[in-house]
Amino acid sequence: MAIGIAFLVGSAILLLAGVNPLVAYYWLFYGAFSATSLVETFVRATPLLLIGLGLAISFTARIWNIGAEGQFYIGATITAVLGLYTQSLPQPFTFFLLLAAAGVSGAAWALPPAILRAHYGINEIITTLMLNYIAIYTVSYLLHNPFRDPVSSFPETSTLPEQIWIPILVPGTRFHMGILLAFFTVPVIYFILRRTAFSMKLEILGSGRKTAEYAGINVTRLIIQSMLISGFLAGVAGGIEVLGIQHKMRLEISPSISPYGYTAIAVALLGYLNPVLIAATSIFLGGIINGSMTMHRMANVPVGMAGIIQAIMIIFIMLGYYLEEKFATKLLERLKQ
Amino acid sequence: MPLIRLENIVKIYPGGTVAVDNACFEVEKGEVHALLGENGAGKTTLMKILSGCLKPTSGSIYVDGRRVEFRSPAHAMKYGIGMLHQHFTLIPSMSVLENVMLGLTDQDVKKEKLLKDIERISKFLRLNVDLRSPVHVLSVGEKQKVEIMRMMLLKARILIFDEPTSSICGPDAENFLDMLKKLASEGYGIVLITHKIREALKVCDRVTVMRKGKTISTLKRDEIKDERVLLEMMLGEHFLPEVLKQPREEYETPLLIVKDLVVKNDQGVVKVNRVSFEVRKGEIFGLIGVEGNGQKELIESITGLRKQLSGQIIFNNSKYSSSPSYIPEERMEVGVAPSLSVMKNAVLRDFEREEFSGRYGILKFSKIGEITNKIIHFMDVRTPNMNLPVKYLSGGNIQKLIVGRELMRGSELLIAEQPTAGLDVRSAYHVRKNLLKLASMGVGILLVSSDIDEVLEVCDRVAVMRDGRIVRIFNASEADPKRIGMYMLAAEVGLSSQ
Amino acid sequence: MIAELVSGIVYSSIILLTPLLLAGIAELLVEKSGLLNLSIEATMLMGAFTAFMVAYYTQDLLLATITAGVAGIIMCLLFALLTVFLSLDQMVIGLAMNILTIGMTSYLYRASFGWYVSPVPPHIKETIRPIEIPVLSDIPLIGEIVFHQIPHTYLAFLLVPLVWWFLFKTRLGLKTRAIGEDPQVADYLGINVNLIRFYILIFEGFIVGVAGSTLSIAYYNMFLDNMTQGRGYIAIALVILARWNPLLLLPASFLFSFIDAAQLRIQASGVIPFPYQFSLMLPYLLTIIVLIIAGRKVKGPAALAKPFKKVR
Repeated sequence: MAIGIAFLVGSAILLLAGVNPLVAYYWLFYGAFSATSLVETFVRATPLLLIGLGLAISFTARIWNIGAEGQFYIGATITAVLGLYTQSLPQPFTFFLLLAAAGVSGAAWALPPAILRAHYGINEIITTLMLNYIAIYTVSYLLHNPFRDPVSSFPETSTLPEQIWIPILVPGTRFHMGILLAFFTVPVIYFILRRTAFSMKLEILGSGRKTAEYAGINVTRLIIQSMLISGFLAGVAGGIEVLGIQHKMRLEISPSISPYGYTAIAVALLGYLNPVLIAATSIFLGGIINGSMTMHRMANVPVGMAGIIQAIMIIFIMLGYYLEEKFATKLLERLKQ
Repeated sequence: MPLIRLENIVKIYPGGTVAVDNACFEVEKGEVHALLGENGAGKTTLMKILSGCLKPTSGSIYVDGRRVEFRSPAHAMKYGIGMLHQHFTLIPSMSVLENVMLGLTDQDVKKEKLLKDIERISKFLRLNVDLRSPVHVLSVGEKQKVEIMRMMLLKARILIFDEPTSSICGPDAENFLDMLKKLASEGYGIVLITHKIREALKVCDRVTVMRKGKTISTLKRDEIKDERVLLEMMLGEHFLPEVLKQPREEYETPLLIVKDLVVKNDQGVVKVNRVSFEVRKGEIFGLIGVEGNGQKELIESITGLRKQLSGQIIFNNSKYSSSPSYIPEERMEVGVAPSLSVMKNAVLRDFEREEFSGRYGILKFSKIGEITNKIIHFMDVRTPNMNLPVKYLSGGNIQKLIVGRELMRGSELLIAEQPTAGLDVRSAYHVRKNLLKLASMGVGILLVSSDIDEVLEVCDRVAVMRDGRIVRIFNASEADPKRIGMYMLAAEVGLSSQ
Repeated sequence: MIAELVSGIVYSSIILLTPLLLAGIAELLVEKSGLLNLSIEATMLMGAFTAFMVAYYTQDLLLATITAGVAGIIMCLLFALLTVFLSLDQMVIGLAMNILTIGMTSYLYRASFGWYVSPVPPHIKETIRPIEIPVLSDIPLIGEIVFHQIPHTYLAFLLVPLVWWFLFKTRLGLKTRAIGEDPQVADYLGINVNLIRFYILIFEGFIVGVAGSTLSIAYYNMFLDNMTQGRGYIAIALVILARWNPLLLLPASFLFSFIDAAQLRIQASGVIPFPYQFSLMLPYLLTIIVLIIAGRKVKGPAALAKPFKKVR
């Protein structure tokens, strides 16, 4: 429903810009889900999925980590920098080591706002968001100065040695093992969020701090844990992007029309914090990002469309929550009478 | 013609509870009309309908003989009907003057006239406070008077008081009742909601008795010869015997020792000042005091929700190193996670125990379901199923779930704050009976209550708290409501009468 | 020499301060009524975009400023609909609206000017000029600095005492504070909680929209993607630093912009060389520091960011 409305509103905006919505949407879907572009859709979906899964954990506790973009950048940068120096280590080992380093650095970037929130009650939305800017400027500095590829005209590192790239699974495409790894994470997070005492702690904290303290939960520790997990997955997503796709660190590693770190917030919310739905949403939005580029090339529609469609969907999903609650209350009344 | 008349009022809450069932009621000018009934009889609901807080399912309201329908409390106030709730409708951080002005409509504000009116009313009510001081520094009695003043400034003709003496006691309560009479003699129509027969008889001109949502009968004061007539009306044929304390084995082992405890509140004020006491195995230890005298902070620090400044809290329980059972006063904010299912709330404090989440932190839903079923049956919690989010249950059912969970946790120490608040008579009786049963099984219970009768009914010892100190610990045999009430109040009353 | 340097820094800090103070004072009022509006970031961006578009096509800067305010009102109306009347979560809606607006403005910008932005992006020829206040601007030193600013700055300075007066000296202000402390009680006393919040959001929309216009038609002469760069969030942090007191908001935001202006000056002078990226990230770092200093255990309005639902 929300998707339908988002597309309807999108049509109106397209019409305003003098573009036939049907033609535009044809290219949108062609670019997203045709046989040739499907792999690219999965390439886009992978960081969205990993970050979105991490956010699902902190959002369940109603800890609003908006800093995934920065955590993603830091993870990616650390991977690339370490990658330049770890050529001698044997394969799979290097790969996992680098991804672990990416995750740890993403988590480390999430740590200060986590501590500030947990110990001093400082709004994490603002601090994580500010840290995004700080991360991007820091990375910009690193890419312009110490780690710049001397022969490139762009702010980026040299290309990493081929032996540490994540292996491609389908030759001739960019379908690499990291994509599978990301999708294998879905059942793991699903299990954690559905069956464990840890998830119940998150849920209780999400419904109120006082209740959580009453339930005997160490609230400060839980806030920090949940932020670290989401930071870790965002960092890993950055590492996979570098090792699997870009093979170097670039300043534009996250698409400017729909930055991964922010789009993943939409993914998590649109997926109702449910890992399976998050997987579906990440594929859908990954497709929209790709499609909006195709749409732009073929129908001359500006790429900001992807952002508009996402945001309208979030708002209507929220409306959905509202209606659902109203409906549930009504239904209960009926049942009881 | 009566000032107001309620005819055949019915109120069915969402969820199907019939709170008021075909009730009729009227108030004359210049009378004190007591509305008498047990907890849960529907008195408050009926009066909330009269004051515009709730919409009746059916029935009609007449003011001066004309039929009206209230859209809101403010709308009812336009007809001169004001209600003083058990919870204050004052904003603590704002000053007395600001609070009084809040309810006024724009045309009645002429500052000089307002100040003059305030002065006149303050004199009448014997209210002596600085208008600029924030409300949170006022005593309970002063807050009540500020609320009355606000209603008088709004030209109320009917004042409804919901259990006004439940948070003040002894001589203060007497003074308060005198004030009601005085208000009535000024021509106000007064409704006094109460469950205390003696209190009703002391001031009223008429009494209406409610039971199970129905108005049973309305009697004039001089028609009432015997209190027991009223008691029978209130309780009906389901006459519940007083819970009988049976002689129990006396233990000396203390389960909870509190020594020289000092605790501050959020504003940094010392609210608990060198408090020491112990709760022994198998005893029910009552803690009573006027609201705001440090009981809340004391309990919060015992249960670990608030840090103590100095002093010691020692748990002597052998079975679990985990927290004692605790029934908190704030149910929705503390006692349950409202958006979680009944099942998860049933193990809210124990889900990390190996019994429910194994060695690796994986929840065992079948085990959790079993315990949930037990609690539901034990406390008669009404819920369509166990997976429903708790927020869809009624307040009473949520309270039952919390009480059931804490009673069945099997700890050796139970801390219960107002455990029967909001429960119907039968459930409250059930809870009291079970407190005694637990005590006889050797559980130590710390019961916090502002209801003297309840405390006296079940406790072995009663500590009275005032101004952050425990001023006296009574043994059950030597305690009576009057003496406890006197200790609850400030020293100005004087304890010379003892 | 030193005096000149300092007055130069003060002058540019007042420039930096204007959008922050405008957004901050409006957000302060909104937070006093119990709402946390994260979408002022979006509102400001929409204001910047609208002001630029109108100025580009009409060359009328006054009209551009006013339409920016109107665009801001529309944004806040959307926020009001979702959070005030439907009681949805204010933080989530605020975030969603920010994502929406970044996409929307960059989309509409490209829809108007085409995807391949030329090396010289579309720009307007004239920007809003500072206005000298007669007499006052002749005061030595201070007159130069304070009374030689764009009208938006004067508006910001004017709003500070005005909002204070409204909150603490008027009946409506009293009601506003009451609904920020306890909407249930306010509602019980017959105060229309949602209506007051609605009006205040309209006010905020206009002011924050105008704040946005300072970016695109006063400081720059063009629109850039996401050009507000988190200023809305910074304004929220400044409200916390000011402890929800309008009179403290002025020194708070001045202090903030002074540090920023000073470091920009140092950076530009090249006396102490440091990479420009560090200069750019300083405001964000400063915001975090502000929160660490001021945001620890301060209490805002009691009902801040809690959805209010009328129950009857």
